[in-house]
Amino acid sequence: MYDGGSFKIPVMIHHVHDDAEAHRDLKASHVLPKNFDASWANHKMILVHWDQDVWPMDTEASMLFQRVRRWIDYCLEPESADTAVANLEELYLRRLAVDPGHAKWWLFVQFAWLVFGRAMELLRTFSAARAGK
Amino acid sequence: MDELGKFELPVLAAVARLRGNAYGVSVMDEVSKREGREVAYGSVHVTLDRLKDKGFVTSKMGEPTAERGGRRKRYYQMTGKGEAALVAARSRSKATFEGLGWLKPVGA
Repeated sequence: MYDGGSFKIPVMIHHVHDDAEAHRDLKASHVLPKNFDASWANHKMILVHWDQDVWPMDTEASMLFQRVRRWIDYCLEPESADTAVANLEELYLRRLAVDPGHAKWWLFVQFAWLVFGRAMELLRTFSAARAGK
Repeated sequence: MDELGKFELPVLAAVARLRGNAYGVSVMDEVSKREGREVAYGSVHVTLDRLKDKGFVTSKMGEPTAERGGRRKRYYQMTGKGEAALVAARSRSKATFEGLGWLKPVGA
């Protein structure tokens, strides 16, 4: 499983001026264009952070998600956190597409629900242990 | 036998209905559709974890897809114990409404 660091991937970019443009092109499409030229001269190696730059998020939205993600990692067990982050990211991107104005608050509410749910689970486990179940 | 909680019932029913495609987001969409209201992902996630702890569902990781930037989906599947709990819940619900056939559907 990928450890969350960075990796390099070859990306075909036409008329590359800078890395910013390369990132924009990568965000725009994961599929090769019709006029794909397999020549390596048209490829550029760029650094891509896993689940950070591959999604077409704007910078602020992406940074916000990374912050929330870190808190989820603190609050949930590792296996549960991985699943929650992946699903939440899919839903967040969907929300950004249909209602960008409220996406930020929506994300906070989802995070609050996750933490509240986790707290209730701990309480339930604690109560059951005390009751000897 | 463990009984299904109030929110566990629609979540387990969604897993059963979605069969091979039950993962967090699809389960949330299915529950929202059936309940007629938007449900929070957090509550679905926690409920799925609890159903797993109770042995009503099992989960396995799917293959990474470009669709989610390489992130894998965790798929849930109902177990025999889960099916028995769902059948028991249906029987209880049926018993609750027995003799109330005269109730008219909403909006009728």
